[in-house]
Amino acid sequence: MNTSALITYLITQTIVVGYTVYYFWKVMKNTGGNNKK
Amino acid sequence: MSLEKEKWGSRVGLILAMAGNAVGLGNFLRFPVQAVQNGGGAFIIPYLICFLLMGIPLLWIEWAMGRYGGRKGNHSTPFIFDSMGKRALWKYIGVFGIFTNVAVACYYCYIESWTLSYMYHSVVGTFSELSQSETAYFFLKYIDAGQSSTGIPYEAVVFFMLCLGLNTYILSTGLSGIEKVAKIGVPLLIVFGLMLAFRGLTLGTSGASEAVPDANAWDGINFLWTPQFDSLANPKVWLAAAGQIFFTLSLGMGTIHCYASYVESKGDIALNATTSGFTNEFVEVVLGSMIVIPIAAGYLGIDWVLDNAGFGMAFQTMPYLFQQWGPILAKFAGFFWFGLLFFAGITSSLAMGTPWIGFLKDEFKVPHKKAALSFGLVVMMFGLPTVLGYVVDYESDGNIVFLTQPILDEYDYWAGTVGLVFFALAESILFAWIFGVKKGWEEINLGSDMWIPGIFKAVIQYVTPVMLLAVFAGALLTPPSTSVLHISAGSEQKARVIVNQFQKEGFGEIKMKGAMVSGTMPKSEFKARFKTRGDIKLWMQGLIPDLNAESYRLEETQDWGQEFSNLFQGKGWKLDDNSLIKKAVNASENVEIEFLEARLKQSEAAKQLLVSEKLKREIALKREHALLLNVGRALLLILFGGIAFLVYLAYVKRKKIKE
Repeated sequence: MNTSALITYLITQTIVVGYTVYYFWKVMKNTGGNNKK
Repeated sequence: MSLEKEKWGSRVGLILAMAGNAVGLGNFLRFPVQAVQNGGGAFIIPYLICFLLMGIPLLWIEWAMGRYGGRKGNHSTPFIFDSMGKRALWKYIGVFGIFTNVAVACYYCYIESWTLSYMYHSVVGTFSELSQSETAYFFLKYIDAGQSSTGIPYEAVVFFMLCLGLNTYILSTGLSGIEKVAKIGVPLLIVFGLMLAFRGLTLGTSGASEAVPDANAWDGINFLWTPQFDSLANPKVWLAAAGQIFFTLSLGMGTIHCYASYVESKGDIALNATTSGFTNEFVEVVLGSMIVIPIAAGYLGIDWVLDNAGFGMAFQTMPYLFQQWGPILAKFAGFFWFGLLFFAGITSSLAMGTPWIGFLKDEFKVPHKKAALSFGLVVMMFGLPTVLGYVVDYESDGNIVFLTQPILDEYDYWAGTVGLVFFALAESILFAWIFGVKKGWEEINLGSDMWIPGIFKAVIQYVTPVMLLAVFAGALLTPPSTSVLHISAGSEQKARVIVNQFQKEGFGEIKMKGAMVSGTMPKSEFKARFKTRGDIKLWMQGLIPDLNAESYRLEETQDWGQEFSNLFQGKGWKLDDNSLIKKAVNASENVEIEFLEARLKQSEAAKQLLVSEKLKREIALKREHALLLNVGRALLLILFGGIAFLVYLAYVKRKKIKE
């Protein structure tokens, strides 16, 4: 992989994976995975 | 209005069902192709900006509208819109939120049935003895419904019915059934995707062969991720990015409204919407980019990929590539790949059934199972023409020369593309300007488990509608496409040689900067001169022998500035054949038929009997194609009219109850 491709790849993956995990963590923290009752 | 209080069983189930609705075949097949064709790594910049300014706000809008409607007992868009807007017109615009789903389900279930059938064929080893061209041909034989590869007559029809039956059955079990499928299907497709993406990342040059000695999976990955920053100035790239965000999140369909209408009246929507949106992005950007393009480049070379990148690769190429991994692994890989596409498909098609069911339950008190069955019957009635409405031509030995599916294409274009953009534009105006951004903002934040920056209030009011308007105008008034060829010549001396050759070939706007040369040509002329990237390579190697595939790059642009300038000078506005207006009048089909008829007249005058016979056959096939395009449109109009009539009846019924 060339350097500019690698940098773009890493930045994008970090943003997308990071936010996906963060928001899922937030959902689980708020509800324990179940509906708020 | 429905008195039934059907609700989602769990929050994770809801998020996965919403993510499953968004994750579809496009995540694996459309996104990488769009990225490759629109600036590689630079595509991700407009893509993520559009996700932030259009995708996420529209998700919030649709979730908020859905929950608002659900609170008032409305589970489909006609009466959700009616409760938000003051004019009667809104409920008829809301018809799109049912119509689009039914129309898209008609061909989507058919495509889904291909994945089901290909899972079966992968496991029984149908592809094990086939060459690359035979594997591609197998697909044509499959969709030529009269033929069969399993001995079952009308195999394509049988698998379509099987798939539709499965969808109808799951829909008849209600939200709990949909939730169960999402909880199994979404994690499973991520696992399958991770396995294949790992293979894509580790393939390297191991797939190179005598026929394609320079095949390298890294070429595919490099092409996908190397940023071509100059492409950011190209409006076509921005329109492509906005379009991709729009389609990948399943916006403008009415499914999100329907799913969200079953959320508790003060349950969170902001965090749920954001999480499901990012889950879709994870599948698209992390997995979708690492399967088709790298694996195909690893065996067939980057030039082949760039010439053939498209939807067909999934069925016509991937089964052959998996065979290169040995008989056992090929069966697993085929099962994983088509299984992944199947789960991506079914979690979306199930979502398409829910607005119809919700509408019938709310307005006509139809029992759930009967409403699900009626969805299956309507999709069968309007879906079978997409299976059987194809145009095929055979050689004298019975081999298929070409095959087109005009009805499927029409459904996809008018319902699955134009309808979505129009509906989303209308709903963003309704939400921000009619319902009012203040009330809308309160609705989004009601019960929210996340803090939304205040700037998004302005984004929802101004930026999102303007971006949608740009996407709509981009489709409506597309100017003619221009091909731009960029060549990195290696030295100024070589660059001058290229400039001379560009002039001889008739390129316009030739620019030379150091060793870089670029020139433009109308796309139609360019396509006639260079049919494949192989032709460009051959032409360049004739000029400078040590150039390689990375020394040149092809870009497509549309000169909006030029067209505006022409318009203000009274010279009119030229349209591309793919623009909505030209498509509406079958412009390219009519031009082709006229051209062939002129040639027929010439050949008849010259008494060239064989040529005349061939031309007559071609004209007949083109006419058949154009006829089926019109049949597709007529069916869509009947479907839309039928649903609008049901909405009218429901309105009259509501009025009587009120009185």
